[in-house]
Amino acid sequence: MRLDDFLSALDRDPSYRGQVVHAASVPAHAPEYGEIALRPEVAAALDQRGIRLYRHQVATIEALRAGRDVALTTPTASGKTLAFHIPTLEWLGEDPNATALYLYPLKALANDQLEKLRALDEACGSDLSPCTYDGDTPQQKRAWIRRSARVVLTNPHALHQYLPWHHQWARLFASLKLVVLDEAHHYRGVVGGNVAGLLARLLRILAHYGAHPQFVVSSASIANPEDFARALTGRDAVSITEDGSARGPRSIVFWDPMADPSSSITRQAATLLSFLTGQGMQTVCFARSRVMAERIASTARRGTATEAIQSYRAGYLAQDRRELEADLRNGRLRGVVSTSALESGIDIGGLDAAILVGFPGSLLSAWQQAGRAGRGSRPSLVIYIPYEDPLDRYFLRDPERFLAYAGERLVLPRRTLRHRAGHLACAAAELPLRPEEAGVEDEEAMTALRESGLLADTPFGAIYRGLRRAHEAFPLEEMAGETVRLVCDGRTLETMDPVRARRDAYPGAVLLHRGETYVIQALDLTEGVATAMREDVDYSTQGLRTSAVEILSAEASVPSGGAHVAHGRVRVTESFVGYKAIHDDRTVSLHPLDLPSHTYETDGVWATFRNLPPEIEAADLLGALHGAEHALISMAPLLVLCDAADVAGVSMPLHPQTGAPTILLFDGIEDGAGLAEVLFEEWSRLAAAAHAMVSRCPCDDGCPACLLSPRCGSQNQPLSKPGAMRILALSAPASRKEDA
Amino acid sequence: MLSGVRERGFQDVLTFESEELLELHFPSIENLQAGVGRMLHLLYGIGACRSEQLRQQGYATLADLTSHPQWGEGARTLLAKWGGSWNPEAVFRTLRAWLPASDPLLLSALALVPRQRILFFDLETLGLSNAPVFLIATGRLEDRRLLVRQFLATSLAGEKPLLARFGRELEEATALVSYNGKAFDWTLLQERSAYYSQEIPSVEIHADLLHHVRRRFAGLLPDAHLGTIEEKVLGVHRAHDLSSSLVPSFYSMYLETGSPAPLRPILDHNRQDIVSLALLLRTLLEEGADAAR
Repeated sequence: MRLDDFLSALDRDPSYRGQVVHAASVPAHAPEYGEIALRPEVAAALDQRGIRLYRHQVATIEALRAGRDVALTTPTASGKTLAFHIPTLEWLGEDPNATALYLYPLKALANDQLEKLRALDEACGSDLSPCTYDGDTPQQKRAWIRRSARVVLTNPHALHQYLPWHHQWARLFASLKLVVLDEAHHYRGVVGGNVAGLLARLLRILAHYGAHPQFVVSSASIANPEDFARALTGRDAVSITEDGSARGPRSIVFWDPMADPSSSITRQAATLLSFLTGQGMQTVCFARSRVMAERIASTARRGTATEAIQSYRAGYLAQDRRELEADLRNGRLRGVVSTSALESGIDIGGLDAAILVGFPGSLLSAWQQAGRAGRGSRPSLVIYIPYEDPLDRYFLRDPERFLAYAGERLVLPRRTLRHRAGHLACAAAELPLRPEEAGVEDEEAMTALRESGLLADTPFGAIYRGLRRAHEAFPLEEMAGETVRLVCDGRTLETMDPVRARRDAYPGAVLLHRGETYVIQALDLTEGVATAMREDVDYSTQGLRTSAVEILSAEASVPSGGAHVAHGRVRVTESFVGYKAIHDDRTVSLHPLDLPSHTYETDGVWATFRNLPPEIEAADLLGALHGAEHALISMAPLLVLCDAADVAGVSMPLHPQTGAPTILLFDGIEDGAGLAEVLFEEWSRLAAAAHAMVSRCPCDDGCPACLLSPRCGSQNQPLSKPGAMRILALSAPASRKEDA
Repeated sequence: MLSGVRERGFQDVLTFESEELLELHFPSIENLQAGVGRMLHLLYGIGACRSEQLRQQGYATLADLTSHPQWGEGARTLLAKWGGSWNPEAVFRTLRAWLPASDPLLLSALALVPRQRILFFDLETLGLSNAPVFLIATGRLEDRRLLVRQFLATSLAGEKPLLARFGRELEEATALVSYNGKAFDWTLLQERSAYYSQEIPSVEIHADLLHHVRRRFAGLLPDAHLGTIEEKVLGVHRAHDLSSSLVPSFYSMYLETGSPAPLRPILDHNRQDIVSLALLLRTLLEEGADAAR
């Protein structure tokens, strides 16, 4: 359906209230094919499927043939997988001993890819026996896979546990030609830091077996593919970003649900879904939670009296999910409402339209979701519906920011002592650690390990001698500081660091895990257990945080407009004083919390304002700084991939350490996740974006769509919108003010 | 106070030798061959029914079967694999394919192995899994004695030469006897050798007595710990023995202080493990012989 047809059909619809505030057309993109000679059986398998290779796929194959690593960051559905499957098929077809290792962030993604790879393997007759190998692999199959499989698909947590048994994998490791990190954008922040540590250990073991494989880092579009690939693998990669795949014309509609105050966002999304399916468009609708997804699906079904609309989630049985996916591909299912589970990785074919209910936290995710609409050169439609949240609503006022997406930056944190010590201990348990293998920067960790009796020096290198297995004593998640387990019915759902546990898992909190809602019953920080109950609730909760921050050291300081910006280590003392329950964007109740405060070290970035213009009155100063702080935090996810709650802040008219009015933002993660440093580097862009967001909001005194923060521990008091705008303008160099 | 010997070429390893009067009775090779020879079902394709039919037709042994029109070729091939003097590895390969790991015949068949090439062994480590090995006890049968040889790493640097020294013992072995050694000791030896990139000779025949104890004493013992077997079955009482769980910390104490005092109880403990292992094999062989009668 073309945009004009859609808009005029909307206009004829009696329930339409003029919610479309902006509509943009992204022109079609003709396919750009490339030519490359492939091994005959691979070429035949592609011909048989009617596949011609796009330019970026050919570029990937060529770079790999030239012996380079590749960072491949073309959009969803551009055929990234095929680009690295082909070299795997060719190299392993050429050399009957050659092997490949594929790493996926989640077991489910590995399982989905396995089938595709198997089909290609059969078509080529290359006898790769691709297999997944992880915690779910039956015991009786394991020895066979280690002995015979030539492509193994696994995940970082599993690989961490297998590395000490490397001699059992000697065959696979010794002949390893290619390591693929698929869906690598999952490896951000502390998780990414751990994957980097794990890959360094893997490379060391591979070198021991004489293998020097090439890497493919495949990810959604990001701003810094080379740097990210280097941070993960420690090696240089050729970056391939230009998408050569065919894309039909795409229309993007910005929908303001506030234009119809009588109808909730859920209802408007459901109405749109049934409207679009009624127009014959196969549509996917993304919701934040499964409860929300089900509500939208059932409301949409009522509207159209059709059974062709279903909800989809990660928690379904594999069998049910497969059926839904097949029904989507063959078109029997006309509409599906999903959590982010359908965002990437899973093959559902291209649909006609996508509805994004709420900003999914990053433009990376938003474009992955939008990318689900569009099949070959057919036109597609994307509708964006924001919640009442500053960043969500900002895109309504500045759609170009959404449309001109160039990717957020993905960063890995600086390696902490705990991180180094953990990976060094594991490395020493895998093979004796020769003196030249531990760098100068590892010295402190090595000393700590020697002193605690975990490492002993021998003529063969440092050996691990702890009583517990190194890989159990240092699980990946604990190296990332994730020492609190979220447990439901005796099963661990996920792990989190103590800071996030206090933030998200206080008693009474509603926590989303893979789209499901859980209510926290108890949080025991000494035992490291948060007990949760599965419960369908239609409200969310928000912890109210107050923090005090002490600056420990400043690493760099630069002027930015009329402000001075610096970054360094800070010590944060944080309390969660209460939480509120929120339903349909409205606070329905407030609950006090009685939790001890928590002190931790992390990375911070701060701006000081020594020469304030006279327009900012003394009485207004705190409100101005406070408002600017909220706006800066809201916009942080535009620049660096993070959860808005991962960045926290404080503001003070006179900071005792800087001796000036100060706004200080910090990584709300113990030891830091590398966010503050990026915000320091990007400060002027951050301030400019925050300024644009606040100044374009039509309200007078600050509203939930600009300055009010649901997380504010001081009830959003005081706040001054004019003051905040002046502070933000001051901290962005003049040339940047409109660059938002 | 330690009477160990430092062997050339094995830095940081001490060897301790001692012996114990102990006699083991294996079935005679003739009896064993006769018994195994009657097991027609060792031939692929022959089950209980068919072997009964064949017996009624006058084919009592595998040797008889070599002239059978249908099974003759298989029987000839099998016996050729075993060789005229019944190569122990080949026979064990066949037996393992058709018998459960706890079948008493897998112990009796050790009779095919030259007595002094049966190697009892037991490890002491610094932890449960993936931890350094610092002491290995071995036992060999000679005349009416068990010769116990213990190899001790006198520092953590001694683990690699210790494994190499044990490797020499393995070269002189055709069969291993252990307690839970298939799952634990042998796996760990391979892992630790791979850790130092050092080859370890493999020994094809491995009798893990734990499997046999589980079968033989099922329901009769509270657990299958070697200590429990010693007390309830072998009549061995360790008066001043060091508990297994303290072994790693005693060795750590030695490493930290340099004083050899904590080593004595470890060596005694480890030596008793090997003696008990041999006693246990004797008991199981007797039970096997009883069952056969």
